[in-house]
Amino acid sequence: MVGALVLAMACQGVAQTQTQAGMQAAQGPAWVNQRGVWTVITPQEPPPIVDVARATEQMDLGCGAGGVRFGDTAAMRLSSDAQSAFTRDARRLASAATLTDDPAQAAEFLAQAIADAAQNAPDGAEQQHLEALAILTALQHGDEAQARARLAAIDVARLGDGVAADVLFWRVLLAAPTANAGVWEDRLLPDLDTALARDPSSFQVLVWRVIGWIEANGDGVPVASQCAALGRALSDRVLDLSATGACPLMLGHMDLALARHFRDRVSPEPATGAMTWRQFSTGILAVLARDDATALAMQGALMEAQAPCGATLSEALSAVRGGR
Amino acid sequence: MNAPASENHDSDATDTSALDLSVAFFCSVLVLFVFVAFNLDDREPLPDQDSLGQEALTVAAEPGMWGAVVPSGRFAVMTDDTLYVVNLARVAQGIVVPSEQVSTDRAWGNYSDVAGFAANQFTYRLNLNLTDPEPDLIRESIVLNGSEFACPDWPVRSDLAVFVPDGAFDLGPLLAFGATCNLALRIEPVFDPEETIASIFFGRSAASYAGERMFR
Repeated sequence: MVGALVLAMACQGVAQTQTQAGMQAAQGPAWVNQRGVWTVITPQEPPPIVDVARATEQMDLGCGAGGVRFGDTAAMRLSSDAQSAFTRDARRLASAATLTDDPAQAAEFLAQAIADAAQNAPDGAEQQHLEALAILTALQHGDEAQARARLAAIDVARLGDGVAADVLFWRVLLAAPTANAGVWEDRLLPDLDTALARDPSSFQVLVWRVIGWIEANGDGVPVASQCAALGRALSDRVLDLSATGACPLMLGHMDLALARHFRDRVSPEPATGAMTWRQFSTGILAVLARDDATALAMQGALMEAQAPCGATLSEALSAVRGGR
Repeated sequence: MNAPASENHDSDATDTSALDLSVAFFCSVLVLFVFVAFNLDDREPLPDQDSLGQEALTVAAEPGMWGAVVPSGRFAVMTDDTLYVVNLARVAQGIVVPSEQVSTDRAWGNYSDVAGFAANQFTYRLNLNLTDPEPDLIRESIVLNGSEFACPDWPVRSDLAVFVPDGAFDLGPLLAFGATCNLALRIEPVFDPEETIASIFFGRSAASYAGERMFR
C-alpha cells in the first residue's frame, strides 16, 4: 500500500519535471542536436536600450567624483601633483598670454614660450602643451583663421595623449558649424571617439560625443527596426557623459549645455528627429538625477510626438525608471 | 366648447407676460450690478505706489553656462559713475618683464605663479587708486551718466567682469550699459567704498575648473 503511494508520487514528480522541461524549451535554454552533438542553446534576449545596471551604478555613486576632469587643456586636467619642467620665464609668458586682451601680444608671448621650451627639451611634453595653449588662446580671442593654421600645422601622431585629444576636439569644434550629417558620421564622430580613447578624462569630448551623435542622426528618418540600436548607441554616449558625476546640478548643467546647442541652431523647419533624441537624452539624465516628474514628462512627450522611434524610446525610459 | 378654451388661453398669456416682464426687469437690474461697483468705504482711495523693485532695464538672467572654449574677457572697476576698463595688455607686459611692471603709489601689482603642471597657472593682485587712477593701466574710462553713453568699440569678445564697491551701490546704469551694448556682465562686489585703493585679484589654476565652478 505504502509502496504504491510512493510510486504514484514519484510518477507525479516525473510528470511535473517533464512539464517544466517542456515550458523551458519554449522560453529558456533548449538542447539541440547539432551534427550528433547535443548543445544547449540559450535564446538571445535583446539587450535593454538603456543599460539599467550602469544607470543604477551611477545613481549609487551620486555626487562622488568620477574620473572625468573639466580643464580646457590637457595640462589643466592633470592633477596639481603632476609636475612639469617649465622654466619661470615660460610660466610668466604663458600666464601673460592667458591674461592679455591683445591677441597679437598673446601670440607673441606664446611663440617666445614655445621657443623657450623647445630649447630645453625639443618636442617635449612642455612644448606640445604650449602649442596646444596657443591654439586655445586663438580660439578664445575669436581668431579662427589662426587656430586653423596652427591646427593644420600640427601632427597628431607625435603628440602625447592629452594634447592629442584636445587637438582632435578643436578640429571638430571648428568643423562643426558647417558640417552636415554625413560629415559628422564619417569624419567628426570617429575623431571624437579617437579623442576619447586618447584621453578618457576629457569632459568636453564627452559632451560633444552626444551633440555630434544627435547632429549625425537627427535629420534622418530611422526605420522602425533600427530604433532599438540607435537608442542604445545614444544612451551609451549619455551614460558615458553622466559618468562624470550623477549630481542633480551637474546633470542639469549637462542637459542645459545640450539644450543651448540645439536651440541656437537656426533651422527653417523644426528638426523633429533631433527633438526626439534630445527628449530621450533629457529623460535619461532626469532618471539619473532622480527627477521622476521630468523623466515621466519626457516619456509622455516621446509617446505623443508621433515621431519614428518615439514609442520605442518612451518604453525604454519607462523600463529604466522601473528598473532602478 | 371652443370659445371658453380660447378665452382661458388668452388669460394665461396675460398672466405669464406680466411675470416675464418682471423677471426681465429684475435680470436687467442684476446685469447692471455687474458694471457698477459701489464704494462702501468712505475713505479716499490710496494713490498708486511707485514700485520699489527693479527700476533698471530688464536684463536677461542667464544661468552660468559651460562652453568648450571660454572667451577671453576683460576686467573693469566701477566707481560712482565711471567704468575704468583695465589695460590687460599693459599688466601682461609687466608680468613678462618685471622691471616694466607698473609700480607707483597710484597702481601696483604682484604676480606669482602657481605650482602645477600647466604653465598658465598664476595669481595676480592689482591695486588701483580710484580717485586718481593710473592712466597707464586704464584702457578706457566710460562715464555712465543716465542713458547717454557710447558703446565701446571692442572686437567679438564681449565678456566683462566688473568689480564694484561692496555695499549699497546703484547698479542701474551699469546694467543698462551691459544690456544696451550686449555685454555679458559678471559683477563682483569686492572693495570697501570708503577706501580709495581697490584691490582686485585675478588668477587661474587647475582648481578653477573643479566640479561645478566652471559653470559659473
